Amino acid sequence: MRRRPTGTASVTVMVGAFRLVSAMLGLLAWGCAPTAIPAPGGSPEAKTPLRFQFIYMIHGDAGYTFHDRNGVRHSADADAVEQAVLVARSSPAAEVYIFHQKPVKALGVVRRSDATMLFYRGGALIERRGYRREAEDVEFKAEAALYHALSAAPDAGIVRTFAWFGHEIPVTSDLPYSRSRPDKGFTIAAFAKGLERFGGSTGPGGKPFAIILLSSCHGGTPEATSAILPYAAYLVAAPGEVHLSYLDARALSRMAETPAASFWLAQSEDWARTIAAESFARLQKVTSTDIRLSLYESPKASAWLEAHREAWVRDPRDDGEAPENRAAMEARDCALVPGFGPGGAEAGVTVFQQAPKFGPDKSRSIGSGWECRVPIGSPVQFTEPAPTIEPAGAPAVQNPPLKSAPVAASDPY
Amino acid sequence: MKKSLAMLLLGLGLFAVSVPAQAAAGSAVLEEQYKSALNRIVQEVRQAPGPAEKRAVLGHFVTGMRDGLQRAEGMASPQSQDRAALQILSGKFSGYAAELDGMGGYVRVADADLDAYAGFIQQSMEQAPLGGGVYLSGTALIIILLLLIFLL
Repeated sequence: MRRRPTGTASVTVMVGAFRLVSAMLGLLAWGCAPTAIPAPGGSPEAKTPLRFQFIYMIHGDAGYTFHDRNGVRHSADADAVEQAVLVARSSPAAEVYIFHQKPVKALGVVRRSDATMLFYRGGALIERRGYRREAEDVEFKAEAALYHALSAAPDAGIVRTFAWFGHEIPVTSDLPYSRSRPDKGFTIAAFAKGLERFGGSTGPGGKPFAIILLSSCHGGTPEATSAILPYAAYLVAAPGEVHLSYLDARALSRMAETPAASFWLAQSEDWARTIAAESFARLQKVTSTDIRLSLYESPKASAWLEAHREAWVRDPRDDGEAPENRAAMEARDCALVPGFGPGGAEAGVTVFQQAPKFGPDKSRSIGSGWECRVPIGSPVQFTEPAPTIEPAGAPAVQNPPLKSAPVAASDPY
Repeated sequence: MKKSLAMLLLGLGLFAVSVPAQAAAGSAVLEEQYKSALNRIVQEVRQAPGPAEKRAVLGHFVTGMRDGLQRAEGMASPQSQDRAALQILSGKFSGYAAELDGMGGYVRVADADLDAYAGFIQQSMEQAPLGGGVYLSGTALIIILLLLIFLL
């Protein structure tokens, strides 16, 4: 077996290289200080009537490094920004807001700005601005203020979507979320309050957003979906873990090509289904781990959760127990929780799932579309689910390819 | 000698990050190093000339991690979250080792699937090492990193 006798030296070299790259990134980060950039190609005004607003919130203040099948290193948040920019440039009838949250410090020095906003209108970059979030701001105050200041779209007839890219949003704030703000938690309740700050009620069914995309692990829990569904007609989320290559929202740019918002509103379910199906197909191509995605229809899924509320086995942290007295929890498909029922299509949930190619779950077939947290050793009641399992396969319309470039010491924008 | 060095490194690792603030401050660098080291092992599997060599590299990796994590677990405070994390991780690597060899009720990983299996382990470790929304502490990261360096 080959073993490297100079491991310590190797680490020293690696640390040195890392510091060099960090220094270069830090310098670039300073270069991202608040600056308005004129739209390329002349007038920043959109020539096509605005019909859509796509809001991206991309968290980059934690560990988001992953390697693809070729061993190439990626930064998931930079990839998500790249995907969002691609959509923004291809959406002539849309305003696109891309908020990229970053660490407060670079090389131990507090940055002037710890987030970057890119604002596109009519496919053109209107403004790129660094901004700073208050220490207590975990409810998108800064982002909502920028949105309201810049939005030129009339409220009526505007279809809006919201996409979150980040790690799992916890139910409680016991654990730090952002690496550079270890004393501040982030919860699903704070996320929901953040959604409310963007206001509006012009989506299907009077919801602020037509579609919310939650590209994070464990977004498909009863706690998370019940908190978010009041703000969206359709929600795409993952009950279990999702690979850091994230969900695929490039279909948004094709939505913007539709002839009229009124037409799109009627078709919103189809578009939400398209995003879920394309995300599923992409994850099938790049990952061999567990893939579970759910599409939740707001009124029906909300009603199901409400009707089965007593069956949710709540996290004991909600009961005020001291940490040492809390029972250890495990994740389990909600179909296995007594009283929850089968979920799936009956509950307004379309399930896209593929068992992992290896490991103890590779023969798993059940799927309610929700994941519950239960104390380890809880009784199990198997309820035969009736999920709508979407067939695997490439989507009918191909998205423009991402560059899938490796992480480099360069500006991801 | 090899085991003594490993124990010394693990002990130093535990000592070095005994203050939580230090662990938090250094965790970004540690995580980068950990993922890079993991990636090098996976690439080593993929570049191995045949199934026997691939299986040997993988076997050395997963059993080394399993054994090292179990030893580190014994050194951690019984009530600490680090111990729980190390226990979960060593359990995962026990499972990987068992599946690789077809033990414990698992179907043995086929020769043709060894590259894919290495990728599966890498993806699992990168996206959610512990699962269930539990994240690796700085202490656990240092221990894993030291084990990976030792195994490379």
